[in-house]
Amino acid sequence: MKQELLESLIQNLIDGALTQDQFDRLDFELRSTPASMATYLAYVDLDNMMVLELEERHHNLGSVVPIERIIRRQKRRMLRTALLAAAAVVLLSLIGMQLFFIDTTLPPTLAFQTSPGTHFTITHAKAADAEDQSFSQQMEKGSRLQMSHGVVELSFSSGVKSIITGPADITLHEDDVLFLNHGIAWFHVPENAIGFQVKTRNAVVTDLGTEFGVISSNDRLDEVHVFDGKVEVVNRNSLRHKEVITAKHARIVGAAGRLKVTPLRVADFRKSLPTHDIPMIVFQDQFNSEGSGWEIEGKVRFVSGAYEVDSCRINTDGEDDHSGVHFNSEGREISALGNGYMVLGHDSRPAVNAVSTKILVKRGKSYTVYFRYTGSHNSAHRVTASLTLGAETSRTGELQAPEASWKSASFLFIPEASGEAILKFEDTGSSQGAKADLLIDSVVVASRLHHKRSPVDATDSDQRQQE
Amino acid sequence: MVVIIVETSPSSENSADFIRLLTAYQPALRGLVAAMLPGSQDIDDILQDTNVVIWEKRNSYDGEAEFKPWAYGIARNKVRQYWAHKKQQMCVNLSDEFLDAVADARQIDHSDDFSKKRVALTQCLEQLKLRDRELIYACYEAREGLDSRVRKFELTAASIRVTTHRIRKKLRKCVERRILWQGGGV
Repeated sequence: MKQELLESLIQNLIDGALTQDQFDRLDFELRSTPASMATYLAYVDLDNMMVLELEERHHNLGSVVPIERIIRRQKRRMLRTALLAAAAVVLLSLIGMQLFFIDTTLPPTLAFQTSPGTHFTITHAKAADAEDQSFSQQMEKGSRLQMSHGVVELSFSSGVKSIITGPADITLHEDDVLFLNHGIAWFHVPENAIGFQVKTRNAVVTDLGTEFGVISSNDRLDEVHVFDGKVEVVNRNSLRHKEVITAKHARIVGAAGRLKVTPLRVADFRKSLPTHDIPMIVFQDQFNSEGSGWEIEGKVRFVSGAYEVDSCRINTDGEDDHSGVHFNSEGREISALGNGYMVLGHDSRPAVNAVSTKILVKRGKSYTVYFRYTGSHNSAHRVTASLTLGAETSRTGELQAPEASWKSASFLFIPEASGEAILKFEDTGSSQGAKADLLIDSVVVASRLHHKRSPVDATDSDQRQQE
Repeated sequence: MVVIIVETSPSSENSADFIRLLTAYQPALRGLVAAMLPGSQDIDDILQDTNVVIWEKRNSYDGEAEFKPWAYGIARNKVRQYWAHKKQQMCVNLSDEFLDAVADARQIDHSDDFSKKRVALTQCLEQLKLRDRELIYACYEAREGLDSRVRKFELTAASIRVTTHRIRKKLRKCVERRILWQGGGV
């Protein structure tokens, strides 16, 4: 194990900031490498001695002097000393200090922390080993952080603060320029850091003193949302439109170079680092790719845009007829992408119409399924959603689909074993009646570690219905 | 600081010798407990419990064998008892193998080195830049007071952690160099 990594793990253990996985790695290293154990003992000795040093210091001082007063007094002394710098004594002191210390006490350009369970890698322009640098949790110019899951809080030395929700990919281009390849990022920029820039592949956002958010993704157009103050946005595409966006406004960065008005969505952005592990999306489908991966029973169609059957059109709420709402990993409603959706049954079809797909589940985790549903033309339809692994099943009851109005539902599955579970949506034979269909959209399955509760609190995992 | 309170007859020469021995090994015993339970807030409590047991069992110490392994054995057991009770509440599970390996490695340390290290540390702290010294002191003054440190030093929590690590690394190397210069082992 490289020395820098070893020392970082040891110090994090002393500070109580180590995960179990990191400790297991350190444990193995210390027990197998005597030199590493010696380094560990040196650090715990230092920690131990510092505690004793402070106890002695309190004892000698008699009473505790507020730190602010000490710093102010010592700053004044330092100024006087600097003014008398002609003295050779000062020069000798500096030389003496050089024997023990090199001046590297400047804070890093950017330091970051992650929420529990975050998966990330970091590479630096000068580093050869990305894995080692992961434990330093700081970035300099040229550093790139790629996060497959989780949330990261960035703290710039300028005072800029950012919360970025993964999956995300960011690179620090300059001290005050961050490139957001993809991710959902919130920024707070203090007055002294005005001019801070966020770049995406399609836009340059320059802060003019404010709080704002940027969404960048491979699946959608970039968006800029301004919560306070103002920003300047330049579209990097053809027409290269530029606009100053003020608080409570948001824009979509169009592919042709325009900036299109869009509703402000505060809920899409995190403004603080979660203290718990956030769920991970293990499956999602907004049916924009015509239902690939789904097994079909009976009559099922995958539709984009307007729902038109035999010249009839239903008017669901949202753009076109798809659900305008999707879900994030915690089940919070966010804006949907694309305009696809799934249609089960049609026109008095008596048999059960259903779709199913396989999802890998693991013991020790819980899985929450979120989805949207509605009925066309009437409210006669019912949907049942289930997740099954062997003899274990969690399902909703028969949910009555509202007429032409999308509704959200969810249910929880906690498997006792690992394997491929079957996620299924069926209309339970309710597609009777003229020209009536069940519509399904915005399916998300999110997993998180399952912490067993006491038998008194345990919930029944076989039959659970949430709406 | 651990305060040792003993009840003894002033005329008992053996007791006085034992007290001197116990007092002399306090830093080493604390060092053992600290190594087995890094960063724990209960080190002094465990050390105090260890001292009580050592005092109660003083008659079983025959004075012939080395004091250190005997006292260390009692301290190790105290740490294991503490950990068996506490580990359910902790985020990181220190394995029994880790505890034993650290205790075995600590066994070969010499108590006089600890004294030299203390002196070296005091000198190294004086050599730190003022802001670094105040920051490391603040870290140990109030380990739970991160918010107050963020305000006082106008650094983010992450920057404070990173800077504290750098300062500790410098202090460790400084102490190491001074001990080597003085001709001692580290």
